[in-house]
Amino acid sequence: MKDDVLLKLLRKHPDKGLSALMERYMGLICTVIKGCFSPYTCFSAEDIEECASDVFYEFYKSMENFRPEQGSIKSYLCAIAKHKTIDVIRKRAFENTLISLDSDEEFLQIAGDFTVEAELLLAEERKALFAEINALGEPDREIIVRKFYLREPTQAIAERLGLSAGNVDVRTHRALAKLREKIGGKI
Amino acid sequence: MKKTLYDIMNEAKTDEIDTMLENIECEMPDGISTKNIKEKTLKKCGIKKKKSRTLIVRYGALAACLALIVAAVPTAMHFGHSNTTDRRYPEIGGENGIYQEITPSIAYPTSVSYTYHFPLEDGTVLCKEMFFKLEEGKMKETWKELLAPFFEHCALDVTVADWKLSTSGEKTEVSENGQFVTHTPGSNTLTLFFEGTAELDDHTLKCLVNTIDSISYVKYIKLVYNGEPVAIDGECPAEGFTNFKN
Repeated sequence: MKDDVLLKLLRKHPDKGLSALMERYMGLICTVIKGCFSPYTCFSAEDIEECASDVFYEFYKSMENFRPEQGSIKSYLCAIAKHKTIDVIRKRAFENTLISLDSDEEFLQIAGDFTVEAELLLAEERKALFAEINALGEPDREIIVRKFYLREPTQAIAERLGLSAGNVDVRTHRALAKLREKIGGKI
Repeated sequence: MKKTLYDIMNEAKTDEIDTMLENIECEMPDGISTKNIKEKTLKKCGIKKKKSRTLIVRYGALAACLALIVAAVPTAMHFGHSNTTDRRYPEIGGENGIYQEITPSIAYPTSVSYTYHFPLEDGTVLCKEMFFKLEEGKMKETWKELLAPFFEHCALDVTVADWKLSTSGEKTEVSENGQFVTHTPGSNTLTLFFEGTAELDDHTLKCLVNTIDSISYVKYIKLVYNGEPVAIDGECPAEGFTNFKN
């Protein structure tokens, strides 16, 4: 179903529209939320469900502000999901119940491969980076998006794409090296 | 402060991730309840959910359904001219609906079923039997009602505005028992007029034609959408469409 049809359905029959919206994007949104929560121990399945319902509610509430020319419903929902999870994580951190599962070594290994000076990474550069990711070709593009945007585990990516876990790791490493080369000294 | 690719991705705006998310689909993660999320969302949005049925009501409905199916057999035989596998409407009469002449031997209420061909996103077709309850003295169903489940299932904003039967073919004169008798061909073309805002692709249109074909007896089906004759695979045959092979 196309976005404009879905929006019309949401306006005309909110219950049917919401059901169709959730039917279509619930898997993706829950994966995004689960990925964002994955480095922390304190988030349960109920937290993911609560956050996912918040995302759909937020979209329903701000539906009139949605601009199709700026992106699809899919990416709009994902952006809401990212912001919502960051809010929840901050809230938990404030409540002192947040414990990261990421060992420094593991997290910094990726950071060491691919870090940027926040001050230097302007919007244009970020766009250039995403353009390079899109130009990687398949399956490297999908691996990078699944690993770094959806935070899916290597094994899950490997199973989905019909590759071995080792192959996914090698492709990730090569793709990052290629991106670093393309973007130049900025990363 | 150093940023990881994770952080950069998190900060991405809607327009920046649009292309990246193309062709990215995900299943529900394990242990997450779709039902809980739906209920919570509808509650937050202030949309009332239909009361859930109790087990007794559910089983009662199931039993009633079975009874209706059993009762539908004689109806089906009647509709299908004693052909138990054919339960299609012979398209007789009515400005607003399709009327049926039901023999008194049929037990009411009863139901008839038709095979709906629902298009799936991967290009395949989901064939599903849909039941319609028939009550004595109210033997009328409009094409709008009959095709509403199709468009509802596909979440398409399309409705049936009107329909008409027409005849193609010429009158023929044949000799019967030494006398010339004029044979007039029956209605064999159904034209359905649709209105809506949705874009209908070829796959959906083929499924729609097959669904109409499973309901109606007519040989040819013509579709008119928002006043324009509908073409499928770039073709719009003058006599109309016939069943498409799935």
